[in-house]
Amino acid sequence: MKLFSTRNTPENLWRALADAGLVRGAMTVDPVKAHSGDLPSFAKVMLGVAAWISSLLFLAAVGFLLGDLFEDEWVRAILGIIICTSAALYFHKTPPSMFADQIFFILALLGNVLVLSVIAYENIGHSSLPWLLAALIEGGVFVAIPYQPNRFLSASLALVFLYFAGSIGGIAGLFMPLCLALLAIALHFQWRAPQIWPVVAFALSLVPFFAEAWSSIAYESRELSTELPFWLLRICLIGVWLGVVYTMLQRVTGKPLLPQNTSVWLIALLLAAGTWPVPMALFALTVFFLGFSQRDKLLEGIGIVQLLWAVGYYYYALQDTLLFKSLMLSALGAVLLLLYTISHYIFQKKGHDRGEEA
Amino acid sequence: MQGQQKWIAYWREHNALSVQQVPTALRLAGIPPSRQEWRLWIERLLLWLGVAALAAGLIFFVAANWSGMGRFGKFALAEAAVVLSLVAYASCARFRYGNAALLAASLATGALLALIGQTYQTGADTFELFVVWALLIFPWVLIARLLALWVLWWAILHVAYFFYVNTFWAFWGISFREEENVLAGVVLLDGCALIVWEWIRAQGREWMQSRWVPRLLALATKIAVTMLALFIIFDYRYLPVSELYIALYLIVLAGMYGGYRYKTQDLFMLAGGALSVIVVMTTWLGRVLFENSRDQIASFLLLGLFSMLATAGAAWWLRQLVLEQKDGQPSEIHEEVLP
Repeated sequence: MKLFSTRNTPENLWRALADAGLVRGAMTVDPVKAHSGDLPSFAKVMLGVAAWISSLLFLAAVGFLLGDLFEDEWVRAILGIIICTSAALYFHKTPPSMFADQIFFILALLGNVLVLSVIAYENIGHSSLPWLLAALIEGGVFVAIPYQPNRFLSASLALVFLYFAGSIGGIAGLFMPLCLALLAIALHFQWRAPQIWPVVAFALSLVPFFAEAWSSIAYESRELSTELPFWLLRICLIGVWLGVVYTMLQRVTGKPLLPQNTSVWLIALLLAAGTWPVPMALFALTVFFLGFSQRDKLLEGIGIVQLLWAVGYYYYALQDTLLFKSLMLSALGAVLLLLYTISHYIFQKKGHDRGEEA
Repeated sequence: MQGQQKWIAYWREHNALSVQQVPTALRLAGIPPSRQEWRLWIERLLLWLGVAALAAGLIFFVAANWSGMGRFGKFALAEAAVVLSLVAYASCARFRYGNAALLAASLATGALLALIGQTYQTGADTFELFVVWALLIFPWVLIARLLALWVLWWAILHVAYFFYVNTFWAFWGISFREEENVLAGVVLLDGCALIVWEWIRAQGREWMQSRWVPRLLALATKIAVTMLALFIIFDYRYLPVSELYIALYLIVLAGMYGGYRYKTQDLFMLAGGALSVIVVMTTWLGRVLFENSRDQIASFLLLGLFSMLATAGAAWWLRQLVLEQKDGQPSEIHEEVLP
């Protein structure tokens, strides 16, 4: 069955909007032609990787050139600010040029690294304040430099620094539920600022998962144990998940708490309970769910890959025995298949009855 | 943000739509999906998650090696999982959902073979179990015509390959003690798989039209061939076959350029190739500069300049390709059919 809308060209969609009385006349602006030169996101990611390599090489060259001067954090900070400001001025004032955009993107990265090195150099692990300051700087770079790959990097780095700040402050466990809530909000409002929110959403879908995965694997981070109870963090994540489900039901049915929606709530609670030992799995499921709600195949793919990773992580997690884990998974699988069978039977029967009435 | 949302956002930015009209416009564009689409999606989620959870449960159970159940009980469990999956497929084969049963059967077969290896200690090498697993499930992979199952099957073959090179260290005189030879094997495996896949896809098989599998194969090939080139650049042993591997790198690049520039236009493949060239050329230039010059500042500066210009050049070239591709093509979002 074809699930996507048949309004798959701007002309068709415009016609549908005109039929609904939302617009009048012919389509005056063609969005596809306006963005005809835009590179797809994977191309931007690959170019971003190449740009990072260039900026690190330049950093090494500048480091060797300035030698002892570079030991002085003020030199690094001022140089970094000058470079970032030049890049910001370029992106704001000059018309886009693919060639020059890449050069100033590389310079922006270089400036970014120089400024961050001032904060990171001596302050790692002692206090949350440097990390919060670094996150604020990245926020400033995000606003100042309107170039999408740079925005994605700045958003991601800001989230990473916020995570480290939270780790030292003992509230790292709240990072994942907060990012999930922000992701749902960003996706809901992304049309209001299409240059900003989608990039932020992309970063929000990736960073929390990697941060959680890293903290589960890295020995050092286990010493940064959260002060908040384990169960409280899980409840927060489940709360966000149920909130997302509520919002979707509100949009689709208008009344989320109708008796007809009981099965959806049961499934949501079952998935929340089934993923209790592995919060990453619930995060991944929510990303997958949000991706489908936005018809965003990239988000759906990210959710699936994260889910597979979460299953692999669960295999190696030490909190339970393998036998217990196998029983949990088998029970979850059996219940899910039972629910599938029931729903499939019920809807087949409804369809058959409707056919008979006709 | 997908196409229709972008168009609506664009019209909103240009005041063709008001803020209040946007939610209605999104609904008309099918965002969020309708009630029926949600119902179907939830059904499929229940099915595939249920199957994955059960299969993972079985694999975890075998790995747990529980002494509370005898060997015959464990074998009965694993074999019953395979048989029940096949019965489920036979009873709903006419639905595409039968593919979930074949996936379950494939995973359960792996669990069964792992149980055999665990119980009998025949002295079989690990790679043999993976090869047998791939052979046993191959008919189901062919029948299912499910992309995810093909990827699983190919991943099993890769694991078998890596276990083989760890065990035997050589094949037909080619030593696997050199990482270059191992990587060349991966390049040949994935490269040949990509060629075969694209050739069969070009015959018009509808279920193969999605681009993510060939992109995955191409990504694996490019990563392996790039690492191979980097090893050749850095490896001071310089094997007798090193020139052959450089030629392999150039052949892979040229093949991908020719195939995906002129035959099946795919920007993903070309962008990956551009990144590979930038990385390899920068590395090679770095080695030449640092070996022949004592001036580290100038060397880093030249390298930085080179990679910056190469990146900018690649960005410009890719944009020209995008403009070339979009000229005269309808601006469509392709509808996709879920399995």
